[in-house]
Formats: sequence, structure tokens, C-alpha cells
Amino acid sequence: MVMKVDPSKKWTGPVRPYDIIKEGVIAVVVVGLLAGGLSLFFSSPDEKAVTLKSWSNTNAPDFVQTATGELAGTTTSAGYGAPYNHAAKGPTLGPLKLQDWAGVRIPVDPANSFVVEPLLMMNDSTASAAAQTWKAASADQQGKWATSYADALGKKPDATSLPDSKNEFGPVPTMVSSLLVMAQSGALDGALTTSDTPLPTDFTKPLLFLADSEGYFGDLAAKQHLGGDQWGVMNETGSWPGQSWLWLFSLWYQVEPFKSSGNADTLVMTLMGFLTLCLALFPIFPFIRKLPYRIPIHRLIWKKWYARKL
Amino acid sequence: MQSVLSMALINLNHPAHYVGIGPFQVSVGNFIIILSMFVIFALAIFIPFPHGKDE
Amino acid sequence: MSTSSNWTARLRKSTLETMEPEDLLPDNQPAYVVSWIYVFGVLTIASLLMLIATGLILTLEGPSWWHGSSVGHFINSMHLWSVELFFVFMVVHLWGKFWMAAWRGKRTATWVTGVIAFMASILTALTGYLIQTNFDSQWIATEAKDGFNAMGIGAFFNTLNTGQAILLHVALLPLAVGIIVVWHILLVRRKGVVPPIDNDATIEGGAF
Repeated sequence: MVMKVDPSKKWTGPVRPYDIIKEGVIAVVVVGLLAGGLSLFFSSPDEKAVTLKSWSNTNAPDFVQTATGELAGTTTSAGYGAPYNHAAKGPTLGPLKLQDWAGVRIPVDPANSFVVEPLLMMNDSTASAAAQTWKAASADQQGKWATSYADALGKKPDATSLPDSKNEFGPVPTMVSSLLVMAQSGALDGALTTSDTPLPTDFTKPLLFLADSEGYFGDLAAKQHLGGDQWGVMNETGSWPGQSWLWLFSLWYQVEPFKSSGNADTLVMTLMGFLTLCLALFPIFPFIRKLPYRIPIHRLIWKKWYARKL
Repeated sequence: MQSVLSMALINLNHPAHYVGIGPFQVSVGNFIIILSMFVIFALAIFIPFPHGKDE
Repeated sequence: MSTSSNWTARLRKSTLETMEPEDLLPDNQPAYVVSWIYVFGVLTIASLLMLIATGLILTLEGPSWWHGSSVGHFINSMHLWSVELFFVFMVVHLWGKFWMAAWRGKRTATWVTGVIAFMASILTALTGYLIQTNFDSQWIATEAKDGFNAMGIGAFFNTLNTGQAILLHVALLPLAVGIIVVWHILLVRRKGVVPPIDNDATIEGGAF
């Protein structure tokens, strides 16, 4: 006799013995042994953190170029927009300017925060004089100085300072060279982390500055395949597995139209939000909710049950 | 750091290898994890579960 | 006063009285519950317990302890591998429940809480990666900020703010995952394990 089963009714048919607490205890022991064994065999990655000090000592020309870029307003953070500054409107989703609407809640003005203010804190009369000259100049003049110096450095990629033969760089070479000295000593790390509070837990400023570096921070990450265009979202330093559950999120960044879109972040985040909603709504999707009936994997799972019915 | 990492019987602290075609690249570490999900699922479906008598 | 307007009575009816003690802590299962696929829910929970245990040890010693201590590094490894196991087991559990169409018989809420638990776990894992206080966490922080900023979330959840990430990972998010997982388990226990798919049309009709 075929037994009729209504899944919404409480089960009244045959049962088998079961011990939920014993099962739970066994599961914890098994997982403990597995995790312990994997830890013993493979340990875990711990690639040392980098600093403005390690950056400026490892790749001084890159540091100098990036610092000049902060003054010229050409770095990623200088042109970022919300939540750090008003330099741009940021990515949009059609008429939705989500990034911009959230507002400037974490104010960071890279030229001032990363270069000028630290120089004024430095106990060096040449450095503070140069910073004062910069502050007293018009925005237009500041732009001309910084852009000309950035262009000149661009032509000499190995240089950490250049002579001002045509008198067009203003205080910028002195400022950037002083900042390099400050960074190489480690003082800039302290200055940027403690600029808002003396006992910091927030590393927004030094990390934004580091992230503007292409020749050091970005390069270190690219070598470890951590870049967004290298499936880096799911990768880990060394040969360890990473966040493989982010595979789908990571995939969109490798393919068009997302790959070359300036709005990739908004598009991918929105798409993933939509797909997550779809996953949650599987039980009411007309086609998908019938898939388990059409592809009878359940025949294998409940093999014994179906066999006994016949 | 090296002394701490040397605790591991198998050292993974070296550049990763990658497998894949064209834009689809996955590190060997992640590949093994993802592959293991499919293998475990298949085993869970096919290996008979030991059980006693029904009541 | 009728019990229907009494808040306490209504809460009791919709919670405690929906379940027998035997539903909550069963010593038997329907005879069709015979497959290894059924162990992946409890293995996911066991991994979560392992995560909480190793996480508590890391919490007691502070976020940078593990960089300089062999014991600390081992506990960190246990925490990492428990995460990998947690997600492997959860995905196998999800696949199993999908192919069993386990949402049948008014079990939609069980499926939905499972999906929410999955997403909350991903966010919790991300904040864990953010508080490693090493190069990996620095890089992930600078990359992830763009995603959150693009949705306007970054103004409130700043991945570059390590202190904020620590508090989210250690207090708020485990609490959220814990609550949703307990809710998910209670729904499973209350409804019982979904019975086999039957080809009888009336049975399918009873699914919703």
C-alpha cells in the first residue's frame, strides 16, 4: 500500500530510535578533531602588517609620488567623494546616488590630513615653513605647484627629490622630502593614527594613504593575487584557502559589463543583494521550486524509504 | 614568525598555485575546499547510513 | 479578560505551546530519516560552537596575541579551519535541503532563516578577516570599503576602523548569527524533518 504523506502534518508513521544530544556531542568531537588536525597540518597565514614606515623605506620614489599626488589631488582618496570628502559624487545606480547621499561622515582631506597637518606637527622649522607657505597660497597656486612637481617626478620615476630649476614647484619638494623623512622614521604612522584621538583604534587615515600607493601596497597585494581583478576577494595570502564562499561575488568583477564599469561596486553589490533575495525566495519560485521533483536526487536520499513502500 | 609557522607539518607559506581557464582562476587552496563540498555531498548521498530497526 | 487579548497568553501560545518537549529534544525520528545528508546541519552547529569556543580564547587574550604566541597562533588556526569547515558543512546542508525541497509543508520560514543565517555568517567572517591585524586584514579593509561605500553603508560601517570591526565581530554579529541559528533550529524541531517527496498530486498541493 502506498503511504500518503502530507508534509504539513505532524508525522504519525513509523519511527526509528534517535539521540539528539549524543549526535550533537559526537559532532562537536568530530569537528574538534578535524579543526585540530587541519591546524596541526596547515597552521594559518599571518603576513606581517605594513606601515607608512615600511612603504617609505622599501619604495621611497613611490611614496614621494603618492604624497605629491595627494597635494595635486590626483590620488584615489583625493578624488574619492563620500564618505571622506566632496571631491566626487561616487558610483551611482541609475538615479540612486547611494554613496553621495550617505554623506561625508568620515571626513578626510588627503592633502591636509596626510601631508600638511603632519608636517606642522613635525619639530622641523624648514618643514613647517614650507607647509605654512602652502597653506597661505591660493588653491589655484597650490594646484600648479603640485601638478608641475608630480609631472616632473613622473619623468624621473626613481627620484625622491628634484631641483626646482625653473622655480615652479613652490614649497612642494621641501614638503614631500620632509614627509619622506618623517615617514621613514615611523613618526608619520603615529601622526596619522593619533590625529583624532591619542589612543586610536581607527586606521582610516594611514590605510587610505597606503591604499593610494600603487608601487608598494597594491603591488604587494597583486603579487599574492589579492587584486579585485584577480579573484582577490576570495583569495588568501600564501597558499591557504580564503573566503571561497565569496566566489560568486568575486566572479562578477572578472566579467563584463562589471569588469570595465566605473560603477562595478554598486552593480555587483546590488546584483548580489538581488540574488540573495532570490535564494531566500526559492520556495515560491515557480520553476526552481519544482527542480527537486524533476531532478530526482531525493530518490537517492530516501532510497530505503521508497524501497519499503513498494 | 617563521618559528611559529614551522609548527605546521605542511608549510603553506609560499606563493599559491592557480588553476582555471581564461578569466576563471582559482587558487589550489580554494579549489580543494570547493571540490571537497561536491565530494562530501556525493558521499553523503551514496554511502548507506547505518541504522537499527524501525519501531 | 479573554486570553486572546492577553499579551502573555498570546506569547505562550505562539511559542511554548507550539512544541512538545519530545519535539524539542527527540529520542526518535521518522523512519525516513536515514541518510548521511542529515548530519550536515548538526556538523554546521558543531563548527559554530567550535568557532565560539576558539573565539572566546582569542577574545580573552586580545587581537594581537596570536602574532607572537605559538599557542595563540594554534588557536587562530583552529578558528580559521573551523570557519572553513563551518561553510563547507553549511553549503552541503543547503544543497541537501534544496534537493529534498525541504521548504514543503509550511517550512518556508525555516528555509528563509537558513538563508539569513548564511548571509549573516558571511558578514561575520568578513569582519573576522578585518581584525587579523596583519597585511591580509589591511588589504581586505581597503578593498571592502569600496563595496560598502558604493551602497552608502561605508559611511556607517567603516572597514578601515579596526576597533569598530572588532566590536562587530566579537559582540554584535555572533549574537545575530546565534539568534538566527537558534530560531532556525526551533523551527526545524517544531515542524519536524520534512517527509520524502511523493509524486501524488494532492501531496504537492499540501506543500503551501
